[in-house]
This record gives sequence, C-alpha cells and structure tokens, in this order.
Amino acid sequence: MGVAAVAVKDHFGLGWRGPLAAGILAELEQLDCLEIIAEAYDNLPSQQRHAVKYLSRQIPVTVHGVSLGLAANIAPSRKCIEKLARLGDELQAQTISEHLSFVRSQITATGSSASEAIEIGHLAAPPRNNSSVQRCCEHIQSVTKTFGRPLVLENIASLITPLGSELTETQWLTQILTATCAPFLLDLENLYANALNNNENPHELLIELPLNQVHTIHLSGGSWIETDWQKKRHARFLDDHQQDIPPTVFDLLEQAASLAPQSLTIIIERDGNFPSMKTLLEQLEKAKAAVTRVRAHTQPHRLKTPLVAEVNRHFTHNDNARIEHLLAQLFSDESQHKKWLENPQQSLADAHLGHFTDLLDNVDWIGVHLMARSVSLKNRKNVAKKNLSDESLRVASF
Amino acid sequence: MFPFNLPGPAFLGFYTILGLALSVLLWWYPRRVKSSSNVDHTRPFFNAPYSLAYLNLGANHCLSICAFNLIDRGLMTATETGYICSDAKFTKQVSQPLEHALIQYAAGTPKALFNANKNVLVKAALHSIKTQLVQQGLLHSNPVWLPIKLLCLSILAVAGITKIIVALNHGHTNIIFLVMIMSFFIIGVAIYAGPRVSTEGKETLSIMQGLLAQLHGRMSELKPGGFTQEATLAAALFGLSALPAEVFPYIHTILPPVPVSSRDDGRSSDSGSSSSSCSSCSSSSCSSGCGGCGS
Repeated sequence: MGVAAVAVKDHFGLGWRGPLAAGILAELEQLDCLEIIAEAYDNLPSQQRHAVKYLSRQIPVTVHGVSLGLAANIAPSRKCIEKLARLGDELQAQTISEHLSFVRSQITATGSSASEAIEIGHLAAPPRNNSSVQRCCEHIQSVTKTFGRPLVLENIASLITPLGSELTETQWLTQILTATCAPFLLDLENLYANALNNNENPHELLIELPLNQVHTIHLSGGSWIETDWQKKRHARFLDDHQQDIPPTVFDLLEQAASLAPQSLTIIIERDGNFPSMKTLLEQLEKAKAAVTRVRAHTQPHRLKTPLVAEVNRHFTHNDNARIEHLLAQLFSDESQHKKWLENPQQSLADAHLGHFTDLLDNVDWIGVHLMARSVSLKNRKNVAKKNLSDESLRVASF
Repeated sequence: MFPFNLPGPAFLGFYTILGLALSVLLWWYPRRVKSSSNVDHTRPFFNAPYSLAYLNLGANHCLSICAFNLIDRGLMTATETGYICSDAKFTKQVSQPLEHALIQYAAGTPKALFNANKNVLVKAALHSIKTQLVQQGLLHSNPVWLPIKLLCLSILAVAGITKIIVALNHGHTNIIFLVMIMSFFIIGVAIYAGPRVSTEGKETLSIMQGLLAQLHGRMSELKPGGFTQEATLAAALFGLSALPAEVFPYIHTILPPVPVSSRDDGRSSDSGSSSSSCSSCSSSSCSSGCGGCGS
C-alpha cells in the first residue's frame, strides 16, 4: 500500500491579527487553527491577553516567534527563549515556530570588554556557510531542550544573498533541518521571493528541500519594490504579507503537497492592506483545493541535492559574527551605509574583515540598499503601529 | 436608641451609613450568584452579533444592528428620515428570526425602525434573544433584583420622610441636608442599582472587547456589501457610530434614540458605547437626539 493511501488530515488556518479579529471570530467554524505571533501577544494589555488566551481554548493555536534570532552567531537570550516557552504553555500551543534568521548582532570591541549590540528589528539572512549551520544547530538544540518539544523552523525571505555565503539557501536550510531533525515551516512565499530575486526557478528550489520534514506551510503575498542604482532601475520582490497570494505560490503548494505525504498545516499570513474576510476565505479555499487535488497521488520526496556542499574556505564563528555585525550596521545605520558606499574596503577593514578582500566581488549592492530601506520602513511602521495601538487601546477601554 | 430621636447631624450620619449599606447590598445581591457550570458563554457570540448587541446595549441597539446588517446585505433600505423599508420576498434569504421579523415589519411601506419593537413578530424575536441571554445567566432578569431594589428604595424613603415628620413636629425646620442626602441615595439607587448584565455577561463582553480591541484601528477599512458578519460584529460591540460614515452612509438614520436611562434593560439604549454620538447629524437637524434625525 502506498503512503498516499494512509489518511492524512491537513489543517487550514489564518494568522491571528487584531485588525482581522471580527472576521476571524465570525468565521471561526471555517478555520482549523490560528497562528499567534508571540511578540504581539506578549505586548498586549491584560484584557486583550486574557481574551486571546480564551480564544486559544476555542481553536488549536500555534505560536510563531520572530525575535529569537536562531541563525545568528550569538545565542538567543535565555530570557527570550523562556518567554517563548511560557507563551506556548499559556496558549496551549500545538507548536512553536521560529525563523532561521538573525535579528541582532553583538560584537566585542577590540581591546575592550564592552560589546556593541545592534537590534535590526527585521529578519535578516545570516552568512550561509558551514560555520553558521553549526552555530544554528547548537542554538536549536538548546532552545528545544528548554521547550521540551520540537521547535518548528521557518525559511525566511531575503532581499540579498548575504556576504560570506558559500552555500545556497536550499543547501543551508537542508543541512540545518536534517542535522536537527526539526519540523520545517516552509514559507512558500519566501521561497518564491528569493527565487525571483535570484533569477531561480522556485519549483526547482522546492525539490531541493527536505519536504518530508514539512509540518507547516505559510502562504502570503508580496510586492515589487524598485530603486535606481547606477542610473538603472532595479526591482526586487519583497515579502510584505500585504498582497493576495500569487498563483505561483498556489502552484508551489500543490507541488509541495504532492511530495509531502504527512499531514500539513497551512496558514495564510496577512499583515496589512487587509482584504475582506471573504477574500481571505476564498484564498483558504483555493489552498484547500490545491492540496486536495494532489492528495490522492502524493509520493514521498527523496532529496536529490547532495547534503555536503563543497566550500572554498572556512569562515569561523568570529568571521560570521563580524559579517553579521557589518550587515546589521549597513541595514540600520545610515552613516555606516553611506560609508560603505563610498569606501567598501574601509568598511570591511573597520569590521576586521579586511583579509577577506574577495568578499566584495560578490556583493549584492542593490540588495543591501533595498534591505536598509526595508528595515528603516519596518521600524518606522512599528513605531506608528505602536502609537496607533496605544490610541486604539484608549478608545477601546471604555 | 430609636434612630428617629437622634439629633440632626447624628441622624444624617446614620442615614448616610444606611444608604451606603443598601447601595452595597444592591451592588452585591445581583452578583452573588456566579455560575458554577463550565458552560462556555462567549464562544456562541463569535457569530451571533444580535445577541452580542442585546447583551451590550439592549433591545434598541440590537434592532439597529439587525437593520444595519440587512441594509448592508441589500435586503433593506434606509431613508434619510430614519425609516426602513424592505420587501417580503427577502424573508427567504435570511435565517435569523429577528431578521425575518424586521423584514416583514418593513415590507412594502417605510416604517420607523424604533417602532418595530411594538410589532408582535419583532417583539417576540427580541424577547427570544433576551430570554436566551437570561437563561445563560448573562443578563439579569428583572424579577431577580427588582423586589430588593423596591425594598431598599422604600426603606430609604420611609426612613427619610419619617425623620422629616418627626423633625417638623419638634419644630425643627432645618431639613435641607436630609432632603439632599435622601434625594441623592434614592435617585442613585433608582437609576444605578441592579446591573442589567451579570458577572458572566460582563466577562463575555470583556473577552469580546479584548479580542476586537485592535479592530478600532481598522474600522475605516471595513468594506460594505455584507460578505461576512465582520462589520456587524464590530458594530454590535463598538456601536454603529464607530463605523465609517463614508463607507456606510446610512448609519445616522438607524442610530438608536438617546437613552432616557441606560439601565432599563435596553428598552432604550445608547448609540454606541465607544462613542455614542451624533457624529453624522448636525445639532440643528437632531430635533430629538441622534435617533431623531429626520424621523
């Protein structure tokens, strides 16, 4: 009997967002689960927190973290890990997930015990090399030990191929996922965005991933952003979660479901430019249809990509820490960014990376520029959102 | 010592303590019974905006929300004069008894929305919602606390009037402070004592408010067309006036009348807890409050 003959129950849900609340509650019967952003929940005032906790007793929820920075060279803080574990328990979450990204960097200044830390406020791709694979696996194991249950790991969208990368994204992800045996949160929109930005075929990238480990799938939409660079117009695809899901992502879902015989949880994420619930439910129905279409003849997927990639050099953990710190500076510090554009060799030297002269050969200048813009925009939006939220709280607490 | 023989200031102290004690009793009495069952009261409200509206602000608010929902779905029209009009054929397209009743009430000719609760069918549908809320322990039924309230009012009135008579008989005419304190307690108890909504009901409203709090920032993005119950649920909780008038331009015509008292079990109710307002009608056109816009 083939694997496909075994009954699988896929689950379909939405990301819980305050502005979508009324629609979600009204249509709760049509959803199998909700995904709650850990940091958003943690920042709620007590009345709203109590309400969301109540909701978590009504429908299965998953907790989704965005601030651990699992793939950073520096370890996630114990406080953040424990907080995420506590939220998972409080909400009786079925799973807890996090991104394979870095969100902060920290480096000890030479000749000093003081360390300089930068909080980016945005998910960023770390250097993809064997050293970051090793460090990331250590972090995942440490977090899993605290949680007492597997942590679900998500691939991120990136506007750039980070400096110091020697592995492709799929090689990097596959090495981490297979080494940790962790369940995989496959964000198809992220995969699609990265493929577009690197002129790759997302369907080919998909089959390079360990689809047998996929537990959850994220669907969302993004948009093109443009910039002028050296008198030419350049565009990149930004995964902003503010648009409808593009048809290719549904195709990718169908392909993924056809190669993943296990039960899947499919979540639609929407973070802004909110459509009517009707539109979101239609997209959910479309996702259900895509999965159902292929469920009858799903075949288990066998990885074709060799797991061990050939590398030219060995980046140490310290090198990675310096690269991440340089990237964090370029993304979030306008003066450093300007300095980098004027004299990149000097920026490398200042970051104690001067000996990697060939790093500059493959710099994605446009990507760095757009990433800095995206970080700045996101941080501004977060401030505005916080102000709006404070305002709405005042109105709501009548 | 017989309290009515107390000197003026001492009796005022006694009367104040009595008034406070009775107020505490009336505050405590309806809350003393908390449901011991594990029945989940809130979940049913996720897709029951009419019940939520009734629980939140009473019968008139419930009628407003129902009319809003029907208008948004294109099954009813609102005129500038605050009247509603529908067609009997639309009864086939609705499932809720209140919707059915309101369409029948307004079928053919325009009718005043807030006279609808005199219609037998509408009245029955509203009563059914109220009965369910009372049975769920979310609303207090009048009989539970009304006799206690009347008893407290009687005690306050009899004690005060008796002392006034005793004082006048003794030739003391300085009774103004007693009259003031007596009026304060009697009016206060008459208006505020005996909550309409039970502890469980308040908990339910609190959870719903908590879940939907962030919707305030998105009210302007709500879309008309009745595709989902989103706008209706939001309006049930935050009031119709919280909805964007440019998207739902008929809102001002179906706002409930200004309440005489918000404590009368919703026979009158307010026009939105978050922002009860006359936002869409100028003072000159509001001859009788919001609900009076053109009606």
